[in-house]
Amino acid sequence: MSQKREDPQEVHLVLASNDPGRAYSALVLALGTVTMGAKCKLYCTMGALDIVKKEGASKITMPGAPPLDKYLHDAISAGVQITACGPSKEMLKQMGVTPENIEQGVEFEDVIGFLNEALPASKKGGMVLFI
Amino acid sequence: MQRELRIVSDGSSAPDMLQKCEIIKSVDTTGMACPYPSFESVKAMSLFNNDNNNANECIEIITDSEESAFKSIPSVCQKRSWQFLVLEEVKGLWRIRIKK
Repeated sequence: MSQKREDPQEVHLVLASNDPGRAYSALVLALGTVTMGAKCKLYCTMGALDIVKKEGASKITMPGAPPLDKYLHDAISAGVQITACGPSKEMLKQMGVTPENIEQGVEFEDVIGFLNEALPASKKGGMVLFI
Repeated sequence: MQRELRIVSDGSSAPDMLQKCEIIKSVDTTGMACPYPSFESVKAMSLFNNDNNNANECIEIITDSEESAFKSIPSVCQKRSWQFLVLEEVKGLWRIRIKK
């Protein structure tokens, strides 16, 4: 049986906060997206950088749920592309983020880098969600 | 001796055959939060990523989530064109067999 291979649908998530209510939602959506066979990217803005700092996600918790780092590591190993807003070295330094203390698998990207992929994805029927 | 489990939902052209398949991996997802039961199903199915799959082999997901057993996991299977069978072990506990 031959099946026509189509490009997977893309979901681009923007996470703007370290608040557990938002951070858990973003990672649950990311895991759900790849589970459904779609491609997922999670862009963490300046307000959500604790999640991508080493040991940062382990400090974010929600009653009854595993710590957020489990979700983060599962998402990375399942192919969710995670990027962190890096507008300038000075701003990152002020926020205590350096290339050395960022989670393995997370890359820096500015807003143009995010839009460079999110715009064509949404044109093809992808979703862009701001959380 | 394995007890006969009751089929409560199926998405397979041959549910009887799928019920008798050899389980090559079983994942207990009881107590796991959404979307882990579905996520673990996809992870376990990666065992079948090569072309020489044995048609008589399947994986099994154990869940205590009614939502996962009747909606989420079947939706993921349909989306990925996998066959599935939902078996009820006892009230509130299901075993889902999945194969390509």
